[in-house]
Amino acid sequence: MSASEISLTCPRGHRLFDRKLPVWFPSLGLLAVTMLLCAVSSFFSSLGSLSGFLTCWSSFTVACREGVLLPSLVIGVMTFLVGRNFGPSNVIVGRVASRGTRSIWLHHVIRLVVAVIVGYTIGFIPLLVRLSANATWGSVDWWALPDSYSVLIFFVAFGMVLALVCSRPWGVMVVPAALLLASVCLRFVNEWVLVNTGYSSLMLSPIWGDENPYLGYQVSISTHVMRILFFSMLVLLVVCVATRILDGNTLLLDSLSGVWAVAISCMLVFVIAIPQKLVIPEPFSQECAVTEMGVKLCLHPADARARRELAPLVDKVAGLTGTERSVYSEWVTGKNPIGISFNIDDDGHGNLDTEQILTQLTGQIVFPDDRCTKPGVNSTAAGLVHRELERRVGMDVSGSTMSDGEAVSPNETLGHGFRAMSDAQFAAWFKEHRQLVASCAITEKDLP
Amino acid sequence: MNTIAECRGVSFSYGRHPVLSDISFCLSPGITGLLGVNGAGKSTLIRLLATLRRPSSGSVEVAGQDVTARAGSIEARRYLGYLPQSFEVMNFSTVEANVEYAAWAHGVDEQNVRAVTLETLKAVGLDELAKRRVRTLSGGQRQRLGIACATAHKPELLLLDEPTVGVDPLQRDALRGMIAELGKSSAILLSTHLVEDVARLADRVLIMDCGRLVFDGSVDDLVAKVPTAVDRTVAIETAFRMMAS
Repeated sequence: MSASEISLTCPRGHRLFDRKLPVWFPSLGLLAVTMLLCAVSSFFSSLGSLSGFLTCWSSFTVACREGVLLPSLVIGVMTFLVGRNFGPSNVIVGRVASRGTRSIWLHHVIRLVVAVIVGYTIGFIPLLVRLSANATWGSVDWWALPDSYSVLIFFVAFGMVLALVCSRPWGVMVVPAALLLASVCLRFVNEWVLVNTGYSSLMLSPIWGDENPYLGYQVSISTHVMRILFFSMLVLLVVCVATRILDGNTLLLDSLSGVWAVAISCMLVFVIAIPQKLVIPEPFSQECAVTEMGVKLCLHPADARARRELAPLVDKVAGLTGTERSVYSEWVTGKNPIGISFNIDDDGHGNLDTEQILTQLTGQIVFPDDRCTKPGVNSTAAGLVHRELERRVGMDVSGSTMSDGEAVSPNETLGHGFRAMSDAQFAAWFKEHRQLVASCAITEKDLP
Repeated sequence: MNTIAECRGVSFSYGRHPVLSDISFCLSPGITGLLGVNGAGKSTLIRLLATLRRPSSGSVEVAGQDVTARAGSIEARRYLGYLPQSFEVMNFSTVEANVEYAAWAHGVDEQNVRAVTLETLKAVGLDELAKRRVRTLSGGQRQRLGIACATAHKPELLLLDEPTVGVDPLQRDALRGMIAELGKSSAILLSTHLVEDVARLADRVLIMDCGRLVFDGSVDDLVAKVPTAVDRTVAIETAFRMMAS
């Protein structure tokens, strides 16, 4: 049989990317715009990690999860534009299309899902490239992608169902708003309702907000699997509801999808009522090295890239603040009397610059016990000392805030006595008042 | 004459509120006017025939298919076209793309879609506007597009809910001409509260009142009920007023 005699036959009917379709709908233009906007959204979500001084793989996990927030708005608008064509008064598809409204609806959902996921993934390519080139420890958490994909697929299916119900023009506001609410509601339940109760709804929340694992912890695979399972079940439920609506049923749930809805509710209650471990410790040993001035600087291996820039600053801080072991006992490791074991706290985003890192470093030296952050403590004078230390290290402190967040006015007359001091005089003053500063008992009268 | 659609003892209610009560009639090729005051149940009856709702009791058959069953309703959709009173199209696409997609979605084979679209656009007089965006069309042109979308797959039963409302008299005349032409090959149920539509187009008329069918007969029979009327339209309107509560 020659090649020309061979013909490939496909079963007639509806195919996902049927070349014989008279027109593409959703149109290629709309799909391309969806893809582009999702790419821009996810790129924007990763921008903080891209511009940060540090590079750690945890920032990818965080960006993936938090990066579903902006695309939810894009998905809301696009699903409305596509989904409203299945409204009962639409004459293009509507509810009486003989090719099967259900299958056409599903076909549209799948096309939108493909556009959203491709765009969303493309937006993370710059971050992946940067991390691959610069990250010094750990590896990419590949589970983060299917985890986020399951959330995005749910958003598309949910948006398409909402568009069936809200096919009037005002739906263009309602559908994105509903998706935004869906992405943040469990986060807010966790923050406002379950706070201080020992319960948490974060595991099944699309985004976690500020509750990101610190360096040294990673999201457990069981968390990822649970989330994927939950959102997949939601997608199936939403599709069941959609078919009920498209079939003109007045009751949105049949017995099967009712059981499904109960199972999802039970899962939600179970996860909240029995606290689950969201993250697991990531074993590591700090990498320590002695600086030129003999300070032993220990850093997490993920922050090794920061050592070259931090070492001279640490030396300068150590020169200004003295190096007694008793003061730095919290961080002293080994036998070296001048040890600073410094964990950079970047909330997993990896978007800190050197000044922010230095603020943390000086903050830990000046306030080792965090006493200034306790309620009822007047931290004004201690804050001024901290600010003066930062100024002398070379930071721009004009209009800056103190480590505990209390604003200091540049016109403040307090602490102007520091200006006349040389670095040696400041070091001597600090040595004398170290305990007062550390315990946050220093007052304005003690300042020079 | 062959029957395209048939309702037998159909009743329907929204919750506890009855909307239709024991409606029975048949539809054959030609134009049947459906008259009734607002709230008489015209649109609900049309939705039942369009397979969008299922009757509380009784049966509805379209092209021999019992549309009270899911399988029957899907099969019946191949034979029916439906234009709601307030309909939506893809406003950002072209006229041509709308009709092409509607034809495909309603079962026209992929290879025939193009030809069917051109033919339908010509039939409704939109062939010269094929490349125009829908949002730029006038009210009458948009109404014609709606009819094109509902008829592209050559349905045997065409359900038109107030198709001439909201268009100017000239466009209305053009629409009536188009509907008359379609009525030669299909059974058309034309729901309207414009008596003139019935007078000019219909061979037969159904009058509904409070969810019940109070008249089912030819237009001539209805006109004969008011022998003193000066013209056909006035006669229909007078008879309609007599029957409607």
